[in-house]
Amino acid sequence: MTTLAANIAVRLGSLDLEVALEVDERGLVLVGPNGSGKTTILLAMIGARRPSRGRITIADDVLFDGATGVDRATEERGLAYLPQDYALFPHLTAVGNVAFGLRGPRAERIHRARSLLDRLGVGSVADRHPGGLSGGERQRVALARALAPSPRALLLDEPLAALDVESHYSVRTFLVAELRAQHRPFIVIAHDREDVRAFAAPVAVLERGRVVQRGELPSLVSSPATPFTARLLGGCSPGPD
Amino acid sequence: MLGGGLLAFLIIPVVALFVTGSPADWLAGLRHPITAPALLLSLVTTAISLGVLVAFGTPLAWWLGRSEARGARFVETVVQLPIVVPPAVAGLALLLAFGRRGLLGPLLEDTGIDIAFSTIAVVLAQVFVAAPFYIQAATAAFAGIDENLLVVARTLGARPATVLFRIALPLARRGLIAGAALAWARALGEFGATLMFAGNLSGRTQTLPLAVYTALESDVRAAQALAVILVVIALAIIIFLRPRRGRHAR
Repeated sequence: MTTLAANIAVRLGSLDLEVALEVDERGLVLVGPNGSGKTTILLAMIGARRPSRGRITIADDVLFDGATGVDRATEERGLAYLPQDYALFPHLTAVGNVAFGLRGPRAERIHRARSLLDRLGVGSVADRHPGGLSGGERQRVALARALAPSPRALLLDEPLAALDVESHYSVRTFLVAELRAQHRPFIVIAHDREDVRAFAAPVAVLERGRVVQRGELPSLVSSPATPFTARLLGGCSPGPD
Repeated sequence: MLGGGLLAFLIIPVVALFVTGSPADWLAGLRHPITAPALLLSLVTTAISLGVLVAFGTPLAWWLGRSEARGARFVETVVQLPIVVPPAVAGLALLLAFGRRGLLGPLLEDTGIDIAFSTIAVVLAQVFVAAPFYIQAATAAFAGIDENLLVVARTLGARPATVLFRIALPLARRGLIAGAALAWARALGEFGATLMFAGNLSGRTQTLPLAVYTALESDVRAAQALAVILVVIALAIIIFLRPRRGRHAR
């Protein structure tokens, strides 16, 4: 089983982040108030924020090690990142977005990108630009793009936040099933109790740059360590669908 | 009412350029011996200036637009300087820097390069005064790119150079082209710094604006014909740069 592990300290403005996280194929749901450092953790893992110290590994591969000076470039880490707004390249079509991360002859890349879009149910919008896609379609295209280069792990920053109420539920069901089918470590940031429950993964609660509680959802629901956890998960039924 | 007055004040001189001469006059002006060399020199030197600006200014603008370093803000201010410095002062400064007796004069003399009053000086003067227009527009264009797009591109396996060419440049394209057009127009109209630093030698340093100045003393029709050329080019650039509806919804 592949494990993505980070034991890092990051200083960024007023944020003083110090966390130790381990994620395997069961995934991890990261929750916490705004400004607690959730996104910063993901950015540090992909190499877009440099930790002041610590170590990031995936399987036996060291991505960052402050002590030995290892700091692999983002493009060599093999970690997929899906930001909150999906960050689709606006000047490329959906299929162009997905093909961006593929290697090989152009015709082959386009073919593979199209079949990936087909598999995720958005083959019909392959030739549209992101501006002409609905929220749910954008998310699927972004997920297809993230999966295209066969990443070793997936990091998703509030993947459901940009969706309207109607598409929220269907996209969530799709995303959960897709993440389960991938058999890769994933971290998903969520801020809605129903979303946390739907991902059915271990949960880590981050507050002011520290992990204040972690574990399976039922134990967090039954004994929340902080008022935030109690508020977020209060009334949450302690199990998946 | 007051605004209308100002508008009229802005338009009347341009109209005067066109209505006070006949097409026959302009044709005669175009055939004047001063015209062709000046037009050719202007086209060649501004093309070179623009090439230099794009080649060197684009990486600088990329750094200015993406860096959060305090040094970048300082450099950004320095780059604006040529806009507020009077062109004649810019010409004098260039002369004192690159002239035979200038700061770098001995160094340049050792390498056998004599810049002042040469076509190279024309190009340097144009680059100096036009640089802020390109760099400012390019910096704004690069700064406006969503950081996440660049980060995601890297996670998809793209090296920094690939991200620059396939993501950043296409997204900044409109700003870069607008900046280049403005810079080219500024270079084409450059007068004061060129006169001070490069002189007014036909075929070598006499660009269109200098030719207008020179022609005015002998043949006002030639001056007017040259002026009409410059105004038509300026109008074409303004029309080219007018705001358009974006092709991609963001």
